[in-house]
Amino acid sequence: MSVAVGEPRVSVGDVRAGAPRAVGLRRWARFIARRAASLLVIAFILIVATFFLVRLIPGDPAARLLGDTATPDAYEMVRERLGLDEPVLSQLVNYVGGVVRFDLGTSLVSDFSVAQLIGERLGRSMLLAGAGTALVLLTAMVGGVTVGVMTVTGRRRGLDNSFTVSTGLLGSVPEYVLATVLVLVFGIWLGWLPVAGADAGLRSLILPAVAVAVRPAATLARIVRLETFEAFSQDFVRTGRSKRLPTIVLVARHVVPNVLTSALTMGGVILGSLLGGAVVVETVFAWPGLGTALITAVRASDYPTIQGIVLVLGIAVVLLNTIIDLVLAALDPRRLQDGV
Amino acid sequence: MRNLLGTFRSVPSIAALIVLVLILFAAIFGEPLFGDAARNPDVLNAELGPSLAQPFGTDQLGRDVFARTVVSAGPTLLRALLSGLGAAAVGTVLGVAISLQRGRPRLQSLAQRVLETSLAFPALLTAIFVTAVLGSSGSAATIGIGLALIPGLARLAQSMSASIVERDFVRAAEQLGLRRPKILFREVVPNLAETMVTAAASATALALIAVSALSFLQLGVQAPDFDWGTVLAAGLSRIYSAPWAALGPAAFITVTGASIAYLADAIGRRANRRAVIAATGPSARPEAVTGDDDIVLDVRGLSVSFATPMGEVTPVRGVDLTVRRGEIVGIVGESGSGKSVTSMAIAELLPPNARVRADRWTMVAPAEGEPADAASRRRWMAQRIGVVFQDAMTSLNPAMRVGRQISESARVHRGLGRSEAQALAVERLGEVRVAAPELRVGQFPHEFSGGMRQRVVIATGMINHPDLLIADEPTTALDVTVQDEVLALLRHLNRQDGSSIVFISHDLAVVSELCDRVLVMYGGTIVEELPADQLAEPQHPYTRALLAASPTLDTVQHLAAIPGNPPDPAMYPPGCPFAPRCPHVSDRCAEPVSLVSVGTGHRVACVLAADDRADSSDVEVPA
Repeated sequence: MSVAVGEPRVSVGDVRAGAPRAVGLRRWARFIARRAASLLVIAFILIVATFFLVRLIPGDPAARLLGDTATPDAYEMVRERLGLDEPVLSQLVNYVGGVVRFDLGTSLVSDFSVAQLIGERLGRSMLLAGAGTALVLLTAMVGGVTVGVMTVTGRRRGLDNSFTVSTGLLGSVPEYVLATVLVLVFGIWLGWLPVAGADAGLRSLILPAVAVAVRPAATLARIVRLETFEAFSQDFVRTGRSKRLPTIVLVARHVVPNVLTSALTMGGVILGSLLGGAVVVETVFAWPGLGTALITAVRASDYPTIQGIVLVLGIAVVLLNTIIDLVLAALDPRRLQDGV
Repeated sequence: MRNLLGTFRSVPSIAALIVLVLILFAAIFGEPLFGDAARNPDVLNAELGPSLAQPFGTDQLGRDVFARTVVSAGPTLLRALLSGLGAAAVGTVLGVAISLQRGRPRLQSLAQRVLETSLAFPALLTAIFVTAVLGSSGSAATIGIGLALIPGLARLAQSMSASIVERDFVRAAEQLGLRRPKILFREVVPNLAETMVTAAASATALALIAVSALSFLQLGVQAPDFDWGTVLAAGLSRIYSAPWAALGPAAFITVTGASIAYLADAIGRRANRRAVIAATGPSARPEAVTGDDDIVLDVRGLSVSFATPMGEVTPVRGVDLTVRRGEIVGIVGESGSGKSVTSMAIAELLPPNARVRADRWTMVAPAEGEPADAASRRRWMAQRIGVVFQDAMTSLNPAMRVGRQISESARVHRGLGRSEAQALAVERLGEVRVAAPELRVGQFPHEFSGGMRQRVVIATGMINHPDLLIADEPTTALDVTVQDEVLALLRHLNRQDGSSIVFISHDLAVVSELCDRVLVMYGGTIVEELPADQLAEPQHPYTRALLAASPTLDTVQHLAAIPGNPPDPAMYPPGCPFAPRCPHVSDRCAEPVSLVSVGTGHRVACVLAADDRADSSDVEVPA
């Protein structure tokens, strides 16, 4: 094959005719449809799983709830309230029907509607989880990327070691220890911040949010640092260097967006785990969220409440991950093409 | 084994090991030594402060908190281990089982989706759910935490084993009719072992904290039994009056958890080592010279060394490279010859573990004079050198629109505004013969075909119309038709703008078509330098062999592979690097050899060529 030197011909081969925007929209529609379908399937699995929670209890839940001294009348009443006197299939149908109408039953302890209880507390839990996650992402991104950029050359071994050790230690401090120490120092000794409840607005949010954030932040900061190394070894970062960009521009435009995708993915998992997993910290700070309600319900064997809270948290977590998927697809359009 | 010991040689690793040994001692000897002090109430001595005999003081019933902490080390660790290792075992089997279901893709993808979903579910919530079902107890907590840890570990085992299952030996085992469980335990599990052991250790560290958390919430171990979580909870309830009773056990949990996690991490890092090693010293940099504007780049005695875990290697040793304005210089050689390292060195784009040395290294100074600070130096480099990379797909940022990537350098160094930069990107994209450039600047790299993407990379390199374009195998990843188009484009740009090009390739045919002058590299040095039109008659035995191996030049019909392999940069021979593979090798080849002129613009580093020149310059070199 000979090479035509001089005027090379214009290649029009792969300009996709028509507007690229329409193609993008179609991809988005398909992507969202796929995600919505899997969301529905998972929600259904969760509903069935929480339903079988009560059936999984060894022995008779009613007996366990009432203890050995209950009268047969009381026993029958509880069985009826739990719906245990009907065949399993119709119990399931009733339960699913209830869930679809946002009716999660009534608490065995307080006669309150479970849906109402959750409605009152979900917001508080989301506030704490959201604030905690924001704190985690912020500190982990800033700390991890900064240390990553500073140690990527293999120099500064001291910084490298102290980062690894300090994040390792912080990542192993149990939340309840940290929470208590925070209360001791900032609540009691210094008296700067309230020690319990959620009545002082933003000020009462600070300590619980810090308490839930430290451990995941330490873990995420290490991951972010490794991801920063990974990003620096990418070809397109080398292209950025070939443009002689100042380090800060290179990091901000080519490294951070790359690291951010994995940090956000992790952030979704962390937000989910904080929604249900801030239980411990909620307890220490008497934070009126779903966690404290769940612990109370477990201690009292209040099954409808346990079912309802687990179901709502589960669906919230899955919904959250779907949203994160959409955000990630917006950040990195290649994801739209994945067949997942 | 020596590798494993090496892993534990750092100060933090040794500290972590010592901590674990101490905790192990506590777990074994705690009960016989401190059992009584931990359990027997002594109300008269309740709530004492810390003392030498009772470093954490006593609790409300007068029991020694330190003794309680030491005694409960055993049961606490046992529960954490049971959770962590149990979850790792179940997770491994589950993950491998899923990846073995290659024959049933629907089942496999369903199982994967279920795993991903349960992964999103908060672990502590799962554990609380389990204690709600089984009732609050130490064993319920252990089972609950274990169950909660399974999805993550199964996911890891599944993705690891999926790649192993695809390997030949597993397929071979299947062909031989081995049953699945046998394949599992004989072929797959041993290959997974290291990863899963590391993961199991990390899981144990997590379980330690989680089991303690359940005890803290009174959903785990119930009185009169106790573990670190309950001892800590008791201490926390009176932390304001007696902080030691809480901080002591808290330190035990934290330091133990951190030690396990650190060691797991250290083993994991050893498994996939990507050690970052600093270069041995500062690199040489180009100097700005004024006067001769005809020579855009002049490097003498360029050497490049890399710091590696095995010591320093020097893949480029004493390369001279002079590029005149408007000239296209080709550098050819096999992979490992040092040609790409040379090109990246002159572009100042080597990784941080590289050290560049040069006797002389100059480029034309900027119009405003010698670059004084870092910013003006960057501007100077951006003006003088543009780079085109081999793999256009990975060289472009997938998340940035093409137009912004092309014009980024101009925006930064020439202070162009958004719309000016966009207009310039459109102009450059048109120059590299991409149709409808004003439409395409708004697209992402994945919306381009391979050839078009390479044009985008060229446009990016050409954005400032640099003196010198360094093209590192820009056509290797493309098919032949597209390759020819890109070559024609480079020549066109060279004619139009007068920009010089250093063109790196392993393909003699491509180089002879495009270039004015060719450098042949082998073993980190230039072995022959000749005008491209004389490439049919090379003098160095290596170039001849390379020519004979190249199928595309019309005169050569047979494929003559070169026997032997290129030398490893870590052990270059002292003399001619090609000697071990050279058919004309003699004793004199063990001596260092330098380039000697054998004709106009033709230099060869070979003792034979030097001989011929000494005998008579007219004698034809034997072919």
